[in-house]
Parts: sequence; C-alpha cells; structure tokens
Amino acid sequence: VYARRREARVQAEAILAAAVGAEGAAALMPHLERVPLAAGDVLFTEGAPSPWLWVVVEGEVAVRAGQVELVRRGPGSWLGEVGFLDKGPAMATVVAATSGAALRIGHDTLVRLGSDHPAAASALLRHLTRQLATRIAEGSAGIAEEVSAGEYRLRKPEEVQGWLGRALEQLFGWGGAR
Amino acid sequence: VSAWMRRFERFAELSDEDVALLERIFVVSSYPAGHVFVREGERGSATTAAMYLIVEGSVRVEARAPEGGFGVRRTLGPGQFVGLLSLLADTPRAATCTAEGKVTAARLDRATLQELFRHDVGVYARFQLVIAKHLAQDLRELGTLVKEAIRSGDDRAVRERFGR
Repeated sequence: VYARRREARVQAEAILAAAVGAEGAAALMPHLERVPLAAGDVLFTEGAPSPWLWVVVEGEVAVRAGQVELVRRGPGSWLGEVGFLDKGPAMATVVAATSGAALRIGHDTLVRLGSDHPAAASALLRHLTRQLATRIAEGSAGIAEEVSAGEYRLRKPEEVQGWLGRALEQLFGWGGAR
Repeated sequence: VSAWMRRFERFAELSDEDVALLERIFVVSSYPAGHVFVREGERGSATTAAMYLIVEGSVRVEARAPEGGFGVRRTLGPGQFVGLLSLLADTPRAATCTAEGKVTAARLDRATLQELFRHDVGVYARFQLVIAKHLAQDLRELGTLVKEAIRSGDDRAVRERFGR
C-alpha cells in the first residue's frame, strides 16, 4: 500500500512539474489535496461558485457546457482556473468520466501561499498567467479572423454554434487534449 | 502623480508596503496625444517588452485582420492595462495602442519585473495574483459573450466586439 501511494505521489508530482517545473512542483505538492474520483463524480458545475483549481493526474474527465459534452481530458489537464482566480461561477461542468484522481487547491490557500510560501505561489501563478494570456491572445485573434472572413454572410444558428464552439474550446483550453 | 495605485480597485488587496514598493518600480510618465505604446506585430526583445497601466486619459486599441480593413477597436481607460498579454505570453503585439489625448501611464518592463522576483518574491507573487485575477475576469467576459451567442444562435454581439 505504501509503495503504491508513493508511486502515485511521484507520478502526480511529475505531472505538476511538466507545467511549473520540478522546483515549483516540489514547493506546491504539500499544499495540494489529492482527491480520488469515481465515474460520475462532479468536480464543479457550470454557474455555481467553484474557487478550486484542479489538475487531473489519473483517469479522464468530461467537460460539458449546457447539455453538450465538449471534450474529454486526461492526466495533465488543468481545469477551473477562472473561478479559482476570480471566485466567480464555473464556466463549464466537469464530471469524472472514469475512476481516477485529481489534485486540487483552493483560492484561500493560494492567497495564504502568497504570504507564507511566495515561491510556491509564484510558480503556480507564472504558469496560470502565461496560460490565460496565451488563450486570450490566441482566442481573440481566432475570433477576429473568423468575424472578418464571414463578415458578409449571414449565419444560421447551427453555424454560429459551430464556429463559436471552437472559439470557446480555444479560450478555455478545452480542445486539444494533451 | 503619487498614490496612484490606490485609486484602482484591483490593487485593493495589496498591503501598504506592497503598494509602496510597486509604486517605486513602475515609472509614471505623461505621454502626448498620438503616442504609440505598442505596435501590432512587434515583438519586444526579452528585456525591453513592457506593459503600461493607464492612470489618466484613454488609449485606443486597433488591430487589422489579415484581409485588411477590419479590426478590434476598443478604448481603454484609467486602471486598465496596455501590452499585458504579449509581455506574459511572449507573443507578438496583437494590436496597436495609441494615446487618444494626453495620457498618464505607469510603465513596467520585463527586466524590472525579473529584478523584483529576485529582490522580493513575496511582493512579486502578490502582484502576480492581481494580474492573474485580471486575466481570469477578461477570459470570463470573453467566454460569457461567446456562450451567450451560442445559446441564442446570434453572433452579432461577438461581431461587434471583434469586427469593425
């Protein structure tokens, strides 16, 4: 049992390190909670407050907006960044699609780390700010290009849903599973 | 311009000590009408890339689409950032930002930011949190606009924001 737990911890830290570096991962690990997941477990619900950042370390989760499943994400996926940072309602619903596990950290812990362990907070925030800035920049550019290309054409509602659905995936990193 | 940081809600959670240090490292200057803060397509070199926080006045944001003619047009005012995205994501400038009249802005470049990280990682981390919250709110606003258009099947609001 202990060997398996140690192995799971090493694996989780490696997943974290891919985003925040080995040093950052080591500094952050003590402040993250490991949550076991069973298929059907809800990580967060669209429209409800969810000040948690999740990192999938085992298994798969499904991202849904409204009734539509947008994408499935596996180990190494970060979810819930927006609500985690601004404490507003979740932008989508995320449900465990298989059994697995995720790491999570709450907004209040992040604020506390900013004073007590700034190096750990900084490693996490560097990754998040870079990721959010990239998505806003690339998502906006993608939308502007589409608007410009389709300027003189009226779109049917299902066409609107198609192109904006892709934009939504790009903005929130829901597309392109790693 | 003194105590400018306290004018803006987004810095409210920072302590007086943090604000005092940050106000020392931002360089507040006055820029004439027509001054171009960042130019579309430019990539700042590793250390000269900078962001600005508008303290007084307004800045016009324009971007051309690949076919020409269309662009993102917005006006930013006091408390808003100019050039933040490309500084953080290391991407080319997405738009040209021009002073509409006389503008007072606080400038922070990447080299100074790196120095802050080495000098006081605590202030650095708490400033990062302010920036991260701002980005999250921006992304939420954009996502909400897109989701609303998907729900209604009408993309006019999105076109207005991103078209001419």
